Amino acid sequence: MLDQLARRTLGAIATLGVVIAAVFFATRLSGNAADYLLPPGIDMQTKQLMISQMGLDQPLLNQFLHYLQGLFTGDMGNGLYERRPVIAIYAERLPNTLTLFAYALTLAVALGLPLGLAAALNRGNAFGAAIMSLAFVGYATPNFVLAIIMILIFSFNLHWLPSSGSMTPIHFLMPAIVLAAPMLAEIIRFSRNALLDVLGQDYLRTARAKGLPEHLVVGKHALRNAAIPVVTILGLQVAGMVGRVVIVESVFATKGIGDLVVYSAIGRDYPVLQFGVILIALIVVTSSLIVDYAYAALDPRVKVAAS
Amino acid sequence: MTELTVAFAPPRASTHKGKPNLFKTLWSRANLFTRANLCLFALVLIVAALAQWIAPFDPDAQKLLARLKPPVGFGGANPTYLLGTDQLGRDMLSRSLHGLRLTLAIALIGSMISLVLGTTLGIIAGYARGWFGGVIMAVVDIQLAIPFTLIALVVIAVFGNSLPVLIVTIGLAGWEVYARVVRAQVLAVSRMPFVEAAVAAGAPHGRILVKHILPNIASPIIVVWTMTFSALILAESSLSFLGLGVQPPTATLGSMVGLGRDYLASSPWIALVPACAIMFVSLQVLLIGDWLRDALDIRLK
Repeated sequence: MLDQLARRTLGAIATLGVVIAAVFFATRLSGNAADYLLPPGIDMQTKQLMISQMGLDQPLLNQFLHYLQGLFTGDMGNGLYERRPVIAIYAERLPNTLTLFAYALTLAVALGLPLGLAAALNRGNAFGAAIMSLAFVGYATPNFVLAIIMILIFSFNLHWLPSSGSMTPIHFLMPAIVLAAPMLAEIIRFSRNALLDVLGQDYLRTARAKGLPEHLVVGKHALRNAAIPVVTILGLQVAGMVGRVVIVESVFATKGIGDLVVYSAIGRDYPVLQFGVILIALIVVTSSLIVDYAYAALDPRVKVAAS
Repeated sequence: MTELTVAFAPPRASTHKGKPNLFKTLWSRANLFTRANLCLFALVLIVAALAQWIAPFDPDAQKLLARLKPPVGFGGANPTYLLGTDQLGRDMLSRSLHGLRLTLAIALIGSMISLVLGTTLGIIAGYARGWFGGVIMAVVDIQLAIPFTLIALVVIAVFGNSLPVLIVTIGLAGWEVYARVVRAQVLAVSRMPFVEAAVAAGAPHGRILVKHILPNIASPIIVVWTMTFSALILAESSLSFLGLGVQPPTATLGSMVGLGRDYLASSPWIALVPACAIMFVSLQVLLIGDWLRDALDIRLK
């Protein structure tokens, strides 16, 4: 397993490397970088000067090395619209996205686990069926549709919540719910199934046979073992959640990195887009790695295998 | 040697015999709800295919005198426009039908691209193995690690947004799922006695692949297809919603929701009609995928 963790870590590093290279060469595919990096309508002489100053007349490989160097020194150039360092733009936006993530993750886990548990214990009756139908609809509803329906109800009809922006914690509530919905549905489904698997095991019958009260049987023996597959699904969901944050932020005009990346793609602001893609890939890859390590820490069998 | 060849003559793959009854078998494993859903989905497909003839109006024709009419049943509705009109006086029903057709067409062509690409690469990785197979699986792992939205954003930013780019982008979503499943299936099937027998009998690779391996991995491919199809519909809708899909005035359901967003407070139906259509279709496809997986008894992963 330690071996596997090492392989995962290497894989993560390789993935990041491929993303960094792909992003650079993809933007170079679309034509001469000078056309989009320099403001339109400047005279030829200035243009030539700036091209050589920015190193755009150098061979592609040199440009790539320069770009790599910039990545490590934190100099990723200026955004084409905001005309200030890309890093500064992202530094301003990142806290909003992380806040949104924290809210959504808390919501999905805090609601998903109890609901999954309830669905497993109420298997076969209407309550359990209701939870599972809710989970299915949550899974099938596209997040922008859910977002629009929620805006319509809570902002325009009930006037409870603001429809867009990211000024106060209240602004994050609706985006967090929309972001959490599919993950919540997955957690409910998986924790229910995991728990049902565990509930059929012999050691639970043993626990009951030796006279343990039911809350200890479920709380101590079943939940711990059911937690393992749920952690795995958390890891798989992180990539999906980061993908969705792009859409959710642009619906709610949350000033985060997802919103920024969408507008940079629409406006072909390549320096901003490049760094955004790399940053998001970094977030995804590191969070799945964290889950891998958490998994190894949770599952006692893994420790046995390692020693 | 000839005797051996005869002795180990590969048994016909079982799916050949069962093929005419396959649909019947599947139908018999469907409950009433699933059957109703299947009929309804067939209806959706027919309606979408015939959009051009069914739609009461030209989807792009603007009537400025009949702007922002609500659907029938709400105050101020005009019965000519069953689902109301948008901010330019275009008939919502006609636009939704055409949008539905385009959405389904993009998802269909896109899913075919990812099916062919993923299956081919999966077969290469599983059958030929070697370093090339390793490279394919490494790319699969990388794509699995990166949210699809990001890949789509980069592709569309670089190549511009047009229908062909959108279709290819959608085709890039999901191939990795086919590649993984197909590779695993091919690895499993290649170890089956009948494949070993075919190899021993001296059958060429092409024949082994087409006659012995493909029929045996067809069911998982179909299941992956139905299970990714709704994801593709959602991917297309999300991109169109963000304004990265087809160019106006042509609309898919997603771009209609995106444009209707600006009129949400005053005329919510402009966004809600296509939004409900997306949700309805994706729910249907998901249910069909679930049923097929259970009916064909396929366990993925």
